[in-house]
Amino acid sequence: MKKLLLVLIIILFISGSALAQDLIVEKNPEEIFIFAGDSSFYQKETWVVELQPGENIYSWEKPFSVQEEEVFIQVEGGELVSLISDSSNESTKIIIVAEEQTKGKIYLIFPLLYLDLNYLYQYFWEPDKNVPAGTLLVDITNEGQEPIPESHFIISGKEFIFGLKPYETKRLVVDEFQAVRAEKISRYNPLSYGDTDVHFFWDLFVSGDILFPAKIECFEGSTSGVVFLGESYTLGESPELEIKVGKSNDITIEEKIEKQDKLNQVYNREGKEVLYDTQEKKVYKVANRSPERKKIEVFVPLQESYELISHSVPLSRVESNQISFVLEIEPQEEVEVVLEVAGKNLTSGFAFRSW
Amino acid sequence: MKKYSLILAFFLSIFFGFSPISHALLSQSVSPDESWLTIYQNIDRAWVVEKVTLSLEEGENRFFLTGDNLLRERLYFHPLDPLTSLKTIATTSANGYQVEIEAQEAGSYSFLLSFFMSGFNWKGRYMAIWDERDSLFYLYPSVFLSNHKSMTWENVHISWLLGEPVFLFEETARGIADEMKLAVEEARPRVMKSEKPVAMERVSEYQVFHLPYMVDFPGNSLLQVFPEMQKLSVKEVIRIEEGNEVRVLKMKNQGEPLPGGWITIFRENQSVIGSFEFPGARTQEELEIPVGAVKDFRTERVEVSYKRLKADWNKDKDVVGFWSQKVIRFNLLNHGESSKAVEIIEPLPQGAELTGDENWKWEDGKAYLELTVEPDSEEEIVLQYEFREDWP
Repeated sequence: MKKLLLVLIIILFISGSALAQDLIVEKNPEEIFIFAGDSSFYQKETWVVELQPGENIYSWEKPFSVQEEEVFIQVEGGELVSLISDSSNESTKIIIVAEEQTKGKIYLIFPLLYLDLNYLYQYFWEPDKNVPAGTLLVDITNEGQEPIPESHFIISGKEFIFGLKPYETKRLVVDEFQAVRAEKISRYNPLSYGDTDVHFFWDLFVSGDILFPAKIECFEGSTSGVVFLGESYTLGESPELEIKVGKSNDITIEEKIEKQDKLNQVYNREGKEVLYDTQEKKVYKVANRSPERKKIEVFVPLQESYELISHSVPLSRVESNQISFVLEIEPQEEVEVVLEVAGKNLTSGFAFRSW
Repeated sequence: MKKYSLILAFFLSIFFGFSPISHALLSQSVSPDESWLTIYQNIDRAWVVEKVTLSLEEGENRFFLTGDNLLRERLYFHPLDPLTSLKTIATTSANGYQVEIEAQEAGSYSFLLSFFMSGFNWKGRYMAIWDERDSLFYLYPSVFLSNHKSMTWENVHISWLLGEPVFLFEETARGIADEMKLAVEEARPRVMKSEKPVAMERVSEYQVFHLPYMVDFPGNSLLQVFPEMQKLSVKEVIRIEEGNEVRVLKMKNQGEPLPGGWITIFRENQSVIGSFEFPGARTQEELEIPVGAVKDFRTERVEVSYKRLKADWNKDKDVVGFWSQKVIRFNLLNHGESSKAVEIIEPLPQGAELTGDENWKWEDGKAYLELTVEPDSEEEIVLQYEFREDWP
């Protein structure tokens, strides 16, 4: 019985070995493309193989830095049955079953961890233009010690052919475009920004097919050619960009509480004030010290339980505890905005919150 | 000496083994047509803009740049002619960059090459003469531009930017490194004065001030330049806040924006009042300079009365609070020979109500009063308010 089992194992081993084809030894992949994702590169290898009826075993030398679960394998011409990874080396056995003899394809996609990828947007706004011109650039660095031979790189749907020496960085111009819509606006939001400065933004709407997580650098034309204005990051998740560029030098905001009365106080058994209403008045003085018309959005933090009594400008309710108003201020103009609110059933503080 | 040089592709192909596609010109460095240096404040950097003209062949052209960490220093390469476009910038093993530019036709084309360079800063400094009799303030601004690096810039346009861009620091720490601070102390100061005034240009939300001439800016040097003197009307006010007196000079900036900095104020007879922080002011903005104690004016602040007008009880008949009244008396003594404008600001408890003199105003939780005290006289002012206080 033992002899019979031994013979069977030998037969199985010989037949299996006969079918196994080593992809690396026999030939190179037919195609290698390197695809850029949001923050890393993926290599796609296409191997053309002669599939035999029955089980076909191929061996693939996986790059050292790639984990088994990071490899995506697709097969044409047969059915991918299983993969066996040998922990003693980087060899992976790919087992494919085919119904007939045919030319098949194996697609292997895996991340290239030694290639660093950073997108960069540079926006340049000419003073007389309505929208800035954008350039999408990408910095690719070979962080490995081995050179990368000339390869096909697919970045944002465009093909680039180049190689990279060890530790070399290449900056490529991926796309040049115009923002669809653009607006310069300043914002005052101490609660959100943690200061009482006026920050200025470029609010842009850009095409959805060039969105990547990236640094954004903003420039504007001047008599000295070009001036760097500021920079920010985008997650690349929305075509609407709110780029916080810098602090506005020309807009000042002064806020003052002019009235703060408590009404209808309720006291508990201990005589402590536990509930009350309020009548409050707040004034914002917004000044534009520049020779140009400016647009500014001012955010007003409130307790949720408030009622608006009067307001000298139209308001938007941003959240249940925040309102905002937008002003367009002429050169050297000062605007006074008066807001009156009633706090209802407050247990502490006043309806107008301080930041 | 320039911070980068443009060398031909032919040169490169010999030394770095680049592909032979490059269109060689001559093996020589290319000097920029014009250079601008815009110095930013507090980020230890200047924005360098260089206009260069290159002779290009039709198709792909390769050039070589040298510089430190240019890609991270916001390198902005801007073709000025639509017939040319930037293709790639690649690092080389020799601390340089290979630039590929494509030209649709052979010809001579201009480009703007911009990037940040570390080792620069600027600060504003003011001297002033206060003419107390005519209530005039003669403001003499100056700007110190510092180059902490050893490199000399020849024949360059110099500007400085007033504004706070969002600047994301990566590897280098914010501010000037210690060895650079040492360099500043050893810097050789130079003073520049021109017939033409400093010109101001608004760029987006910032102000860029331009020197009206080109200069050489030596390494490890400090360049002091003088924008125009301004004559401002000034009002002296004595501000009494919680009983503490301070003399404040109030004025309105009628001219271009003035950056913050330090100011040394002299009297007309050249005696020094002192050095103070100058807050900076936008166009048409009022500014205040607190200038210390008042020698010929005295304030006495006395809490003369405190009364519990009404007690609040809980159900166990324990006292839990009072409705109280407080009276504060201010005696203002002007020993000077001129009348003094005075502002009194007194913080109030939350929910306090002013019950006395109607001239007092409630503003942002404080009582506020403006008055004038005549020369060599005394004025008595009373503040009265009522407020709720918890007990115990």
